[in-house]
Amino acid sequence: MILKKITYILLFYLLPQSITAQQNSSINWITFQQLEDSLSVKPKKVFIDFYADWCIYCKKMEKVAFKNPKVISKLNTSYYAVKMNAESTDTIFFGGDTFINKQIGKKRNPTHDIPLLLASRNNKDFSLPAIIILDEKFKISARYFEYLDSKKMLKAINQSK
Amino acid sequence: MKPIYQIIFLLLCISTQAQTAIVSGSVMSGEESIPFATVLVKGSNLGTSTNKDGNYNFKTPSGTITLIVSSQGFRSVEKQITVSQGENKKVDFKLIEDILGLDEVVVSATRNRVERKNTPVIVSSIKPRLLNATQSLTVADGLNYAPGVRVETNCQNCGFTQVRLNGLDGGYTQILLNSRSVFSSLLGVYGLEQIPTNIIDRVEVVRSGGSALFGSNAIAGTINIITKDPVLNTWEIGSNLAVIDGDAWDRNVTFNTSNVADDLNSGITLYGTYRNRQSYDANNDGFTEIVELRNTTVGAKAFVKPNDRSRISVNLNAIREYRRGGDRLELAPQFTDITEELDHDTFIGGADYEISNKDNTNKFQLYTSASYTNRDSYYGGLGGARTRQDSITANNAFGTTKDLAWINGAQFTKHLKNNDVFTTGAEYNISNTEDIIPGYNRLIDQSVNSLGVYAQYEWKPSEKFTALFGTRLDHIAVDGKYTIGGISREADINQTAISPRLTLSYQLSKEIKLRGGYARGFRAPQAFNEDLHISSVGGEQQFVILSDNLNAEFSNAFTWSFNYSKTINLLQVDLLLETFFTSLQDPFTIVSTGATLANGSILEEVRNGSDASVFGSNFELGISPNPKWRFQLGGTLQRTEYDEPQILFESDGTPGENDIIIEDFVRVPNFYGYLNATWIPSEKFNIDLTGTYTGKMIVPLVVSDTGFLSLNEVDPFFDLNLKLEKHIDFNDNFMITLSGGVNNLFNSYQDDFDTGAGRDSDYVYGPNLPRTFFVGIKFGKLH
Repeated sequence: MILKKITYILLFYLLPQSITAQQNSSINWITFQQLEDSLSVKPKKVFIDFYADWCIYCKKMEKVAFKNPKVISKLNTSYYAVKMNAESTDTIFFGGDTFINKQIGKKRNPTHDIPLLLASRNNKDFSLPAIIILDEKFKISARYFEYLDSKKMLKAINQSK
Repeated sequence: MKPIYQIIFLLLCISTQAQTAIVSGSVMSGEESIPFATVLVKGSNLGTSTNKDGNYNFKTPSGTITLIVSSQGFRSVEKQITVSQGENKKVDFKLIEDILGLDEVVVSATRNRVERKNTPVIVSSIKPRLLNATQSLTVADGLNYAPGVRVETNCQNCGFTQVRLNGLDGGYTQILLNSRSVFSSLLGVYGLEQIPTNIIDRVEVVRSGGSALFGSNAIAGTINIITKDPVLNTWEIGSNLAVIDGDAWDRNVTFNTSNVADDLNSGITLYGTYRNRQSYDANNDGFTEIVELRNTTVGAKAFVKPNDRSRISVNLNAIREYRRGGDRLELAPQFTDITEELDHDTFIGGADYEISNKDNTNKFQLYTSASYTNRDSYYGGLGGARTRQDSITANNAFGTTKDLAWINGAQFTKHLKNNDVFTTGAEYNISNTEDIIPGYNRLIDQSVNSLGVYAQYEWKPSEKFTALFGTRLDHIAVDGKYTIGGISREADINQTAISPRLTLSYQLSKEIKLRGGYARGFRAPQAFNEDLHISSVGGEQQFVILSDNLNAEFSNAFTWSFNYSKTINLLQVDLLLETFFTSLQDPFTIVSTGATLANGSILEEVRNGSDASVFGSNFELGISPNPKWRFQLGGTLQRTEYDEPQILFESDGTPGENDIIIEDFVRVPNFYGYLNATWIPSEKFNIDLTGTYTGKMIVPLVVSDTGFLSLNEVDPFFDLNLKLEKHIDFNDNFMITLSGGVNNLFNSYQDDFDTGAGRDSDYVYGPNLPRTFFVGIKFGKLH
């Protein structure tokens, strides 16, 4: 366990060096598992993007906002950027809990528990695209459920303190 | 990392009103608890969501309140409870899974975008998936796959196709392009074969007149062709090659590309098609059964959003289509026995402007669309003989046609606070057709101006019940001159008619929805698509002319339907049973008057026929056990009946010939239907099996020079198609789809074509292709 932690810490300090070189070319997307380790080492704001294969607006954002150099550099410097397929079938351990996709075999578009938890809304069906921004204390500061072009995306990630 | 649930909780309970009771409980589906379901107090913003174990707990105001519980994929449930101050009440909920796959958005039912499952009238939607599965190159090929629709080629010389909806012929169906009636009478003749499928997002079919707001002549129904609206930047190029009965080649090339601005505020789609089909002769008599066809279509569709609440879109299309049938296609038409040669040059353009208010409750639309066709035609030939007169006639059978349809309209929609929707609008349509063939002294010079005003109220007094009241007031002015040979007719009609419509729908249970409707429709006397078509019989041309003193035709249509939809885990079942009854008063009926023209041509007259009724049932059953398998089976069982026997051929007293009288419609089978089955084992490969069944029917065949008919009962057809598709993704920007298969696998095809120069060119029915093998390739950035 301790060994594992050390490995992660080492990784954490080593990784940025190797990544800075390509910082401007793409976003350093990480998974939820990596996020937990990263947060335990160094708290930082978190940017979460939920997508699915059928979501064309997600694809458009992939091609536009997430390719914008300003968005890339802001996300890479100020955030942990997490990308997750909302229909993932993985079992994810996070915050001491286990999250699975309970809808597999029950729904045509099975949604994983994590996006359901973070991106469900009061009186609306679950929908994509869904972007969640959390502060250093892992409290949600903003949620977006629409297509964001580069300008709106920049505004969103610069706005949240 | 524990605070994750608290965050959610904080987020959902942002309310600071007086909350004086506590309600708690569980939300379950069967034995399983539902986490993250939303629990709301109706009419307020108070709410919470269930935790991981499906339990909830929150403060509510005291008194009588209604709780609504919803969760994605489940039907929401309401419960009324009464809580007193300080009470701690336990309320448990059971949720039932919702129907999937019916959340499509359609426009045809009410002229506003509505989720398909919620429409007050049944809308059948034909998606590109099905057009692709059936190897449909044009709209005409794919329409058979909706209940009640049958498309049939009706001429061996020109390939004229007709849509028959619920057994009523082409003139009773309104064809729309993006909800606009740019299909003029002339475009109605060949237009369905001119719209390529690669630009289509979906085709919406509404049977019966429930969709009144689109026009009073939509007596059998409407077919609304909706073109694609892009989001991603994509491009594709495709080509298909088919060989009809191992004999005639049909090849086409299509392309389309879309570019949408990063902020989605503007975009354009460009598309084009080229098709070249050789003629096909089924019985080796030297005369075509399937005509030669060359079609080039290019078009563009663009939009811009000046701001979030408004949108301007424009579209431009140019269609050049050449078709020729008959014999000896390599010769100039006047040296052949029969030639029908048509060269269409069509332009379709339009612009739309729509604006909404801030909260999207009011919407205003303004639109204009026009289509203009310039056509060179040749309907004629020597007709088997080689006399001087035949030669003169053949040399003078060239004609020209000019056709304009121009639609202008405005529409206002208001969503009221109680969920009711009010729609009103006005439309002014101009349709001018001029068809001249000097050699036959044939003239159609028709101008139809119509002004329509409509209003519709969608009343939703409860969640379960919806009533749609609508009325359309049309004023139609027809000014027409019709001449053929020595016969001249004129139409000068001013007609005002009110067409009321009423549709009711009731959600009987979660699975069952009942619908019913009544619609009145009318058609003012004018030359419709079929009347513009010229066929050949006995080596002479057969013309249609309007008779004197035609009255407007009125219709009353009733429908009832039963829709059962159920989803159990991955299984989806959808059953539709629909009954229709349409009565026609003074229907326009084509009656053959025999060889009454000086040059021996046969004249058919449009008259007000005996009142008639068309009734029957449509059914459709769709089953999909999981996303890998889909099955659909649909069909129509119907009858047609004239109240009084209807004359179809009037004898001139030639010995051995008598009047032909019918009691039901010709060319309408009592049973017809379709099936489609899809297997998608992976994203890389899929197989589609599709087919249509055409039951026994009566088809008239002209058997003598006078136009005397024989009513033939023809055998049923079963037309089965098989298609295999392989997808290869090289990377995100380049993909290839390869396909191959066979149309009409069992070669179920008409085998008694009339032969030679004297044949009746209208005697063609059933599947439009014999056995045809095809291969195709499509590449590009497909998605």
